[in-house]
This record gives sequence, structure tokens and C-alpha cells, in this order.
Amino acid sequence: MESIEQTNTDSKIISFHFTGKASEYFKIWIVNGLLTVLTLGIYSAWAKVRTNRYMYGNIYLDNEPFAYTALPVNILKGRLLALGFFIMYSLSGQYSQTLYIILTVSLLPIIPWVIVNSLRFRGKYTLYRNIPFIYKGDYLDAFKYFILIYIWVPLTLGIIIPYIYYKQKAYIINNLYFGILPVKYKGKASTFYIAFIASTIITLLSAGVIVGIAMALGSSGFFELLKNNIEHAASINVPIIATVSGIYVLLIISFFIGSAFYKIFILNNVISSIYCGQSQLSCSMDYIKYISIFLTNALAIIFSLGLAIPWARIRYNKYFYSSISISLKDNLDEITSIDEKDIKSFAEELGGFLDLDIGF
Amino acid sequence: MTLTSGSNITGTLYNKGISTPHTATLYYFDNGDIIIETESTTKKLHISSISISPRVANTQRQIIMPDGDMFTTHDNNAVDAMIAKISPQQKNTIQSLLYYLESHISAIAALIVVSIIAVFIFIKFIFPAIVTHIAFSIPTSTLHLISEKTVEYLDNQFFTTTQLPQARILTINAQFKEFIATIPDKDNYTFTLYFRHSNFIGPNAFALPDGTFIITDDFVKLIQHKQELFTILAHETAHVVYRHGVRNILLNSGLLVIAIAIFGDVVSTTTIGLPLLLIHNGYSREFERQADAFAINYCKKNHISGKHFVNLYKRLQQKAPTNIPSLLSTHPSDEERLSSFMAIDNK
Repeated sequence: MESIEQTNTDSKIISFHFTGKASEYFKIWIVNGLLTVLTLGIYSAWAKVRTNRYMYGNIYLDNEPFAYTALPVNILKGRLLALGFFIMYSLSGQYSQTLYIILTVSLLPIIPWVIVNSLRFRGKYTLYRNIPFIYKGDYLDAFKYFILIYIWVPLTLGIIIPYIYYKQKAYIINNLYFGILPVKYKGKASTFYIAFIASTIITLLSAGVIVGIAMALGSSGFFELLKNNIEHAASINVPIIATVSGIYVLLIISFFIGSAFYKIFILNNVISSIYCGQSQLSCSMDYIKYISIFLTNALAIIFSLGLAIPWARIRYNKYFYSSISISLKDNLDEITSIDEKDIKSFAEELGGFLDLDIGF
Repeated sequence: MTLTSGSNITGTLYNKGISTPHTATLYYFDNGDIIIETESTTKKLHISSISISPRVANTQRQIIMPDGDMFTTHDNNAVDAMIAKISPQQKNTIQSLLYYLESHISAIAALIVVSIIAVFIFIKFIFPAIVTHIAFSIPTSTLHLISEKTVEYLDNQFFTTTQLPQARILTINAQFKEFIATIPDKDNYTFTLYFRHSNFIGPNAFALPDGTFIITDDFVKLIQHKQELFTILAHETAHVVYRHGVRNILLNSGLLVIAIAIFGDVVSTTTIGLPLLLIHNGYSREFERQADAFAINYCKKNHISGKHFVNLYKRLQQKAPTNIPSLLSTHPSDEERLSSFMAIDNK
């Protein structure tokens, strides 16, 4: 089942595989949801671990799966602490304005700390062949790239934003180690600028094309309706509402096409610029394939009232991981690990609660 | 030491800190001893010293040893058989129960039924009971503060000073005092009546948690009889003494917090919004029924005909007709309310 191509004597290209099944994951997903409700949310820590165990355990490289080994109790502790902070934060606004401001300001140094520690936690409990990923990111750097750097946004009228994303990706990837093998990101900032500009152009173009087609198809009726509506502004006109909301949906679709381009362009370029030791990763997702998977997934989820979520996730993961491969120059059998102190899960959980998305 | 039948598991052994895989076989014995053999090495340990990862579908299991070595295998059934055979105390853990749930569709169906019943009981009984308990432990000073702030807000947003003639105000005020004197619980609240004018709100009369009543000019104009005023005041008094106002706030915000905490990861807030609105309207309708029951009881005790409520209500409907479907409305349907008031006179 592995697609192994021998390119030369010291490097071979191996593809990732995702072997999850919708039928298996559906049962895990629904039990997770029900038990989370029944335990008033406490089970969510177990749900997270079991989901990750299932997902990681089905990612294969060279016939060996990844493994997720975090303990639910650690995640629960972190979650409760994060919940406590969150409750204090929301209540403080009602009782003391000063406390609210203090807590808000204190979030600034806390956010990078949460980012560093959640990356550490996630790495530590992700194993491949008994070797964990170690994250050695520095707090001050995190503070620099996730807080301080934003000072430049108003000064550069936002032109720096793609560069910020580039620096953040570089910070996240460059401090990761697989055992003793350093993971390095050799991408360029220009990737992010191209992605930004191209996705904007694509959004505008597709919006123009879509609305143009829509208007050409119903032009006679449309302008008539528009005219009628302006003349009788007070009366609510059902056809005009349908037309306007139809255009609205079409604009959302064109925005989606633009952001899909951004996502795929970034994923392909960033992953393809990652080196683990001497071995280079490669990602080759296809725009059309991605958009068709995303749209059909969205439709299935909507029409199944959410029950298709597990199927959709498995389907996306299958495509995503089959698009990634590694040109192997290191001997996977001879990787040694380095020791790291215990890492508290609180930081990762605080990150989850405040909805900080730090993956790529 | 005797080898029991079928008592071995094939897998891979990794030594601590190095990724070299060694094809290995794990043998286990009735007394709990375990031997892991590779081509070149043999390890001997006891079942009590190893940690076996929980089973999730058919993903690879990890058996982690005290020295940091790891044995991995895809033979989940063999691992489960080993646990059942030589470490039965590990068999009935939460994790193995979870695997049972996740692999039996009938268990999942049962869990769905249990969940629906539990959610229903929670929404219908437990949560309102907790909220009621909290609402009645709120000190009167807090109720007073809430009401004061509400009046301040309403005055800023909607109300201007009353435009009623002074004589009318004096009459209504005297009738209000007369009404309050008949309320047994009057000492716990500071019953006062405010007259306000509003172009937006129209005919309306309502009570705030501490017993402050606000009545709009348009509403006063609808009143043709003292008894009519009493029926409305009785209804609103019920909201005060049952603390419906604060209970409403607590129910609404509490439910939202719980829903976001549980479903926040899964679905968007807008998806939660509609079911919450329906549940919340259910609570509100319950309060209105309770207030109507209180008013009906009051009428019976003080020999007030239900016609007074019905007449005032019909005049109000003409002024401000409402056409909200019952599921979305906070008040019970008109026919339901009016017929229960009409029933007063039948006895």
C-alpha cells in the first residue's frame, strides 16, 4: 500500500496515508458528543484525546502510524483552569472596570506563553516510532512575533501583515525537533504576499464572473425588479429579496474560492519548504479537487443536519495526507530522541478555549 | 511457569530514545509475567508495571514499559485477551467501557435515548430549580439596584414624563395603594408606581424585580374601571413575588453559557440560538401562566369578575394587535388566557 519510488541511492520518496474510516470515526464522534453533554462538558477532555488518538493513529508514514499519548486528566486540568480564567475575565467586566483592564492587558504576555506551551505539549505527546516531537521555542521570540510585531501594522498601513504570517510560521516550524532532527522552514516571505494578492484578485474575478453570469441569465427580470423595488421602496418584494440573497450567496462562494486558493497555495508552499533533518516534505494539493471536496462536504453536512461531519473530516484528511510526501534522506530507523521536562497542558487548553488557531 | 494457549502477541519493540524497530513477540503467563523477545534480546517484566494504551477503534496500541521502551501492535484483540486473562482489574476501566460504546451501535442508540431524557429533565426540572433557588437568595438591595438601573435605562431610551392630568394620576395612585394593601407579601418589596409617556412602547404596564411598576399613559387611557387596573396589577405582582424577572435573566444567560461551553467546539452560536430561543420562550410562557393563575386567584378572593381582565385585554388587543405564533410567543394564546379568566365567574 505504500507508494515508494526509488529516485537515487540515498533518497526515496514516501507518501503519507490516512487510513481512518467514516464508520469508525462516526461512532467515536457521536459517543464523544453525547458523553460531553451528559457530563456537562467534563468528558470533552476524553473526547479530545480519543479523537486525536484515532486521527494520529491513522496517519501512516512508511507503514508506521503516528501516536497521540496525552492523558485526558492533564487536558481536563488545563481546561478547568482556562475556564476559571475565562469566567473571571467575563465577570470582571461587570464588577470592576480596573480588574477587567488589568486582565485584558495581562492577556498580552499570556498569549505567547500559551502558544509556546501548547506547541510544546502537542509535540511532546505526538510520537512516531517511539520518538516524540520536541518544541524548543523561546518565550521572548513568541512575544515578539505574536504581539510586538503588530505595532508595525498601522505604521505600514497593513502591508506588513503577510510578512507577520510568514514570521509566525517560521517561528512555529523552526523550533520543532523530531528527536534530534531539527525541523526547518526554508520558505520565503514572498509566498505570503503572492498568496494575499492572488487570492484577492481571484475573489474579485470570480465575483465578477459569477454575478455577471447570474445577471446575464436573469437580466431582463432583474433590472425590472430593481426598478420596481426602487419605485415602491416601502413594499417588500419577495422576488427582489430572493435575487439579492442569491447574489449574496454567490458572493460568499466567490469569497470562498479566493480563500480556498489562499489556503491551498500556503499549505502547498509552506509544507514543501519544510525540512526534517535532510529530508524535504512536499505537498501538492489540487485547487479544483480541494474546492470540490469542500463544497460537497459542506452540502452533506448541511443536509444531514451535521451528522455527516465525521464522514467529511475523514474524507478531507484522506485527501490532505495523501497529498503530502517526504523525500527521505535520513534513516528513519536511527533517529534518537532528546529529553524534555514535563510540560503542563494548561497552556494548550487555554489556547483552545480562547480559540487561538496556531496550526497551519 | 506454563505457557497458556494463545498467549502471545506479535508486534514491534522500540528501545527508549531510538527509532529502530525490532520485530518482537510478547508472551504472557497466568501469574502476570510478561516476556518480550526479539531476535537478539529478551525482556522480562510484570503486567502491573506496564501501561497499555486504551483501545480506539483499530489503531495501533502502545505498551509502555517502566524503562521507556515501547511495544506496539495492531493486534488489538490479542491485547484485550491478555488484559482479560491476566489483569482483569484493568478490564473494567472507563477506557474499555468507552471502546465498548464506540463499537456497539445498540449501545450508542441506548446512549442517545439516555441523553435525550437527561437533557429534557435538565431543561425542564433541574436547571429551573437551581435558577429559582438562586433567584430567591438574591438580597432585596440587589433587586433594588437592578430595577433602578433599568428605570434609568428606559428613561434614557424610551420614556418622557407623563402627560396625564394631575387628577387622573392621583386617582390611579390611590387605587394602586388600595391594591397594594391587599398583597400579603408587601413588606418584602418596595411597591411604587411610575407614570411614563412613550411614543414607541404604546399601552403597557409592567413590574421590575423590586416592585417598581411602570405604567404608560396610553395604558392608563385604556382603563375604564378600578377592577380592571387591579387584575393587571395582580398579574404583574405575581412576576415580582415569584421573582420572574431575575429568574428570566438567569435562565437566559445561564442556558447560553452552558450551551456554548458544551457545544461551542461543535457548532456555531447561531445554530445554538434558535433552540435556546424556543426553550427560553417555553420558560417565559410558564411564568405568564403562573402570573395569570395568581391574578385569577386574587380575583376570586377579592370578588372581582374575570370580565374586567377580559375587557381590558380586548381593548389592549385593538390598540396593539399581536399575531405571533404560539411557539415563538412569550405569552400563552389569547383564547387560553381569556377563557381561564372567564371561568372565574362560573363558580
